[in-house]
Amino acid sequence: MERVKTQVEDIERSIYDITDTAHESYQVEKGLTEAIVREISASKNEPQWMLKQRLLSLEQFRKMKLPDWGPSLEELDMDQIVTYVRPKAQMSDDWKTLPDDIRGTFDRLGISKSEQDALSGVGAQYDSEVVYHSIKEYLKKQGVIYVDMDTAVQEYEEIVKANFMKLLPPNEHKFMALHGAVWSGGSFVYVPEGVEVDMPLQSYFRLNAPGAGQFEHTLIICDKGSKVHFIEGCSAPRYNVLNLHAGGVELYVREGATLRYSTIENWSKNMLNLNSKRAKVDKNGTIEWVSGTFGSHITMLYPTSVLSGENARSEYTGVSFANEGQFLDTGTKVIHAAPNTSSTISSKSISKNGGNATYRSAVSIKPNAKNSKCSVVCESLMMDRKSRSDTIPVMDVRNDTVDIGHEAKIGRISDESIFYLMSRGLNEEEAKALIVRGFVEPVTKELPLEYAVEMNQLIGLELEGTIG
Amino acid sequence: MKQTLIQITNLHAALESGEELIKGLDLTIHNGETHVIMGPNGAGKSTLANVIMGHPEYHITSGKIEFEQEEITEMPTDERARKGIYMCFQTPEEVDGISVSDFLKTAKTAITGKQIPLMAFKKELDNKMKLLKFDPAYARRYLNVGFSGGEKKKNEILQLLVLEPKLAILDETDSGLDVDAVKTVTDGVGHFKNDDNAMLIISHSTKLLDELQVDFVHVLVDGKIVYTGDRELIHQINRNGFADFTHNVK
Amino acid sequence: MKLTHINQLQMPTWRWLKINEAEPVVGLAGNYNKTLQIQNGEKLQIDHQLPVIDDSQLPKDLRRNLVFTSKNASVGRTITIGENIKLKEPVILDFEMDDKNTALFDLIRINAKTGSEATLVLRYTSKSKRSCFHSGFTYLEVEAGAKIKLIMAQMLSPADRNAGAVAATVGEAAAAEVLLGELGSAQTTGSCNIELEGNLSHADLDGIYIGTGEQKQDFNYRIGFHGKDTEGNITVKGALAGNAKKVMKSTIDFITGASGAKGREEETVLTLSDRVINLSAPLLLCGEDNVEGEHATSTGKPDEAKLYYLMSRGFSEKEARRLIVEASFTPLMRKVEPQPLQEEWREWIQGVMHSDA
Repeated sequence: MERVKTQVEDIERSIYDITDTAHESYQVEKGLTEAIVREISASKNEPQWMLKQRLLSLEQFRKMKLPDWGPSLEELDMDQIVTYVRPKAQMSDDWKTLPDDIRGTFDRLGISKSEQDALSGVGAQYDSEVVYHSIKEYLKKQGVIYVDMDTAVQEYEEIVKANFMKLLPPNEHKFMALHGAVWSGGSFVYVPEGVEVDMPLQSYFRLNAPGAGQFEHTLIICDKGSKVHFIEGCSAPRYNVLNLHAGGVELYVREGATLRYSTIENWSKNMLNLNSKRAKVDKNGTIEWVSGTFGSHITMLYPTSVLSGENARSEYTGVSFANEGQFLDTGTKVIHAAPNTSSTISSKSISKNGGNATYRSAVSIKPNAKNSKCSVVCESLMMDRKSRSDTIPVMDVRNDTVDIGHEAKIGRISDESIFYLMSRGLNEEEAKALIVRGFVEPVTKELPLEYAVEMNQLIGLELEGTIG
Repeated sequence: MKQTLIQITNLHAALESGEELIKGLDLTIHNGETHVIMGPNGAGKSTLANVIMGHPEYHITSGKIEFEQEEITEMPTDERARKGIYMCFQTPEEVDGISVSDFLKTAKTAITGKQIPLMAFKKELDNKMKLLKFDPAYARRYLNVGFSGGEKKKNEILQLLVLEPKLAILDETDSGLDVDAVKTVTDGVGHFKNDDNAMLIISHSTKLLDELQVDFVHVLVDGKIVYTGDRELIHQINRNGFADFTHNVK
Repeated sequence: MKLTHINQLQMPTWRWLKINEAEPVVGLAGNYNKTLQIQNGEKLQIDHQLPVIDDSQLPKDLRRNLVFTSKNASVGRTITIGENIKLKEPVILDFEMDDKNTALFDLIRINAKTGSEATLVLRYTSKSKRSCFHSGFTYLEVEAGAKIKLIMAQMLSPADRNAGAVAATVGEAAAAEVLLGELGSAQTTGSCNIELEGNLSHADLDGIYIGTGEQKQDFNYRIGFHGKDTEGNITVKGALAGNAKKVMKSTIDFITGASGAKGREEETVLTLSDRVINLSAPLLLCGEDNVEGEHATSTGKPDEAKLYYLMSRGFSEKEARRLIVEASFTPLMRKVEPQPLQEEWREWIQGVMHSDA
């Protein structure tokens, strides 16, 4: 009888690797100059303050050095990156009006189907621009705003101006500055007071042009007592040249609001993923980060929560799977800047076939963050001895009424566990796959079913054939 | 006519270091039989169980194991499981992140080679859990994680009932259990046992064995079976210990 | 003269945490002239020449400690414990600074030959009213089958500055127990690096620290696992009061090939004032799959439930706190030899607890 085989496969990439050849309609020159930044701003018809912001960021970018810690970024040559590529498509809220090849890409990735069944709204970005954006009518009526960032700059100028790049100051690190200079695309979300968005909003970023960069900016403001789940998906086909992703995510969680931000990152192996994500959480607010990192050549990703109001909470659940040629340096930063704040961090990483996974975190408890709690659990699974797994956590505690616990473990799948599962009929590969699936379960269970399924597929665990 | 289920001939097994643990063991079990292995500590009882199951730590240096007339001496563990051999582990492993129910469905599918409809499986699982007086909430818990010793052993019996092997090896399944738990294990084993399958029980205590139909009792000393008798032997050993058998060796 | 770029985190991280290396330590010109008293050293071979130490295997920041200390060394000793010599009494090297001897640079090399066993204590104290300085480098080689316990007692005065370093290599089936007591000085940077070279080698790196007033402490403890079936534990217990600032960096480093290694890191800190600055970075680095590595850190106030229990037995809150702090140190304190030294440490800790109202 045919039996579905299970293996700890490398990520099933074929659906992501299909490229749409020569799609770009309009590209700026390679590299980064003031002229290019002005060109980008002009093509979007931006207000003066935004152009000024870009130029200030460019200045910062030039002044700052690459970080002297973490994976080496020597391969990055900004002169070879195309920072802006506009696809041959007008933005629309109707999939049918998109050019066939662009729509085909998103169809293959299952985006449009999900939208009908399981999402409240979808934004789809192709190279540097958003090509599709829609939100269910009833939410619009409640005052929920979900538009692409360019539209937001024009139509919601005041609120955008007040918040844009405030959580991601360009002088903080080189790639925040880069982002500030050449950002394009992304989404703006505003959820009014008390509104709970029942189904998730999703943005999907697809980088199709070789040698290009993607710098989308996501700005989400959850007003008091509101609730929303935002899902971010990303992919790019594999090329021989380097692609760069330096997106920016700014999340404002106002009093009593809850925001869940889920990401499944599946960039191709030529990608440099240097994303910046930060949330500011006010009194009684909660931010939940759910993060799965599978692709890219190099990732440096540390969603940061600033707990600035009393009782604010942050939960981070992350999994990363580093395979051959990958350097995944991920983790989180939490700043407790108010009393009674709490944070939990749960991180799992897997290294296989020479992959390099690093968990890096910083938990900072300020003097006024009395009675704060923080719990960190990180586990690393080494599948062989070609790979590496490093855990670099730091805790900086400045008052004495805190409760902090930190645990980390590293090892491999035990022979005894494999024997036990084999004695129940699973072969060795199946046994390992089952254990790895169990290992990442804390993240899969936080995702809506479709994404949990995608995630399991991404880990190559085709257990659905046997589990159902 | 009784069929031979498993036949072990002049088996020698050793650790990687070369230390020999099974030193020429013969054993034949037919369908429908229940065999008990007793012996002093360190005799090799658990080793025998693990060798039959194919534990990678032990190497068979000579002799053979045949299951349903097929030689399985070099067969990997999972193949043996699929042939219908099952072991209740003495210390079952905890596997985080996978529920008892999901795990059992996976294992059953692996062993039968057939896809099982979800609802049918859940029903079967429910019934078997009821039989064992196992709180249904355990089906959703992660495999053995945080289970007490007794709960782990009960879970092994649950797996036995769901997977329906031909040969069930119980490795000290009743040790460390209280009276109620032993009863549950006994009930479970009772439900399992029929004329077509067989059991090999490694045990010290009479609690479990009193309730079962035992056909043969073997005494294992220093890696060999030195004596075979019937259930009377159990009582004799519990009264006099193994002294009668150990001084005959070497 | 300044000692800079020491106590470096093996893998650096965000600069804003200011944890990648220790703050520079300002030294004083060496003038230590006292004869070194060594108790119970009769069976040892002691050479008074300045030891030559092979620094090729040392982490680069530790090399700086070595160079700084060697250049200015006023005390140098090579101590050899002969093959299969087993010493019962701890060997004690006493360094005491005073008004005429305010700056000490000592370079000590300890070579424990195959099968030897001994406990060595390096005790640093200061009677001076003036601000003193100490920079020390101890190099410990534990050869096959040997078992060595090294106790480093830093008991300098509140105005002193200290830069201590211990580097050890452990051979086949050998064991090293290094117990570092950092009790005094205004600013101390303590570094300890143990390489488990031989198969089946074992190391216990234990640290006790107590900080109060304006004390600044920076510790960098590392065990590198090279051989097979090695075992290493870093256990640190500390208490912080007043405006003390402490940085604790500990690293378990499994190097490819260290199959069967087991490494554990644990830090427990009790905080007794709300002005302390408490940084911890417990690193777990791994290039080998067949290992078991874990670490656990817990930080916080003495347990409310414990306090309540003790108070219900008649202890005042202060006494109860003191008891809890002392109790947390007990498992490591018990390892301190000789008994009088253990008593000294207990009194010291009690002294700090009492004065910290």
